[in-house]
Amino acid sequence: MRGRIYLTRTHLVATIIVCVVLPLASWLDGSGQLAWTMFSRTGQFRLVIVADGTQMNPTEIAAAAMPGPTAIALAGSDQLKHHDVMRATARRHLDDIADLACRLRPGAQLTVRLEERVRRSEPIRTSEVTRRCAR
Amino acid sequence: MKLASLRDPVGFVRDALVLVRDPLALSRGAFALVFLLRTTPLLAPCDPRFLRGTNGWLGWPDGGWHIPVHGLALPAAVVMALVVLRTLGALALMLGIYPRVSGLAAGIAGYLVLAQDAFGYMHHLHMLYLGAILFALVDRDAPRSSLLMLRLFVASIYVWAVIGKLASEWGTGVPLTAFVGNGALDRDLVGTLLATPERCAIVEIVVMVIEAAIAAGLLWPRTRKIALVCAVAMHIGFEIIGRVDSIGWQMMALLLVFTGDSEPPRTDTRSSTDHTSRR
Repeated sequence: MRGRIYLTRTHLVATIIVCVVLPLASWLDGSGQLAWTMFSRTGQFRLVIVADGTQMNPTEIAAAAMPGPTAIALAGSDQLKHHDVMRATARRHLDDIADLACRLRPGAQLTVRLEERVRRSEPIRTSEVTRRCAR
Repeated sequence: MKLASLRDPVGFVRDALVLVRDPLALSRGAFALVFLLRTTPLLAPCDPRFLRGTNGWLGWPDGGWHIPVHGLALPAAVVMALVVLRTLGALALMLGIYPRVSGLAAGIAGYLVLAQDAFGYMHHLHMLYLGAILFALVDRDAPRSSLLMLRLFVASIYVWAVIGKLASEWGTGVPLTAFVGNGALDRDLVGTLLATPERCAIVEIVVMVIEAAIAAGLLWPRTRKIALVCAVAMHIGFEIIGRVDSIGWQMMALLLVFTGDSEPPRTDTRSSTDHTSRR
């Protein structure tokens, strides 16, 4: 067996976790975020926010949220944005986006709808949260 | 690579010279340097795109609204401490000072700061922090095993990148058409090459084939050098055409684990079987 290279138990476990488990797990949750999918996906998303029956532009929330990544993600998201990681994150944190909108519309009846598609050729899917904002 | 001692400058220089012959130490130093350049304002005079609109310290101070991952919102003072810890960890990792502790500190602190805003996640930041943790796991007594672990990590990035492309619309011309359309690629450089969806489709297939070939070529000693050259050329190309943040530099730093001899200078003092049986 001379000349062959072995992995110590620690390195073997680390390699399996890093090279297989983490990427695979993120594939299974639909995001592929930990699977080095950079620049491969064409996912798009758009946010439709309605407060007391009136449409609210997500860029308004972005302006209040500046500076930072959340502001960058929300800015211009009233139109379809091409950013798959942001798309997956927005779906996962739709409730939190509603919380941010509530800061600007306390007491409002709020609906936040995410319209998304993983591929350009797919129909748009929607998910939605509705809540009464605290005063 | 022995620990660099600040009280022994001669030893420090000697270790630095050893570093250039040790692919693990060379890669670790280069990777930690990129880590520092990406997460601190050191490059501010050069005005890189990733520093625009920020103060340069990634994640702090930041008075904006955030959406923390799993509700893990930490006080600003703690985030500041984590940014300091992350920076000191990366600096120590680069210099080879307590690399196990410094790599873990840099990686874990980095992830905790990253978790303060779910929308702040980017593949290259994940790569930075995960890479720092992997370099922390390098075992001086098991250099061959350590090198293999890092090499498999690098190859797996290419493999998963290809899987991601195969599972998406890559190869249809849609992705590159979209990237050209939204200004992510330099139209002056690739406008003609990617002028039509058909040309985009061809380029997409070529990129996939090259990435798959690099992954396989890096792991086979006979093709390692040519694969290394192809990989570096590809990342430089992406950097010029797409200005893809720091990911190209990170990959080139990681690719240094494939330089030098096919095996590091020291032989492992234990194999996985030995390691297990001793316990």
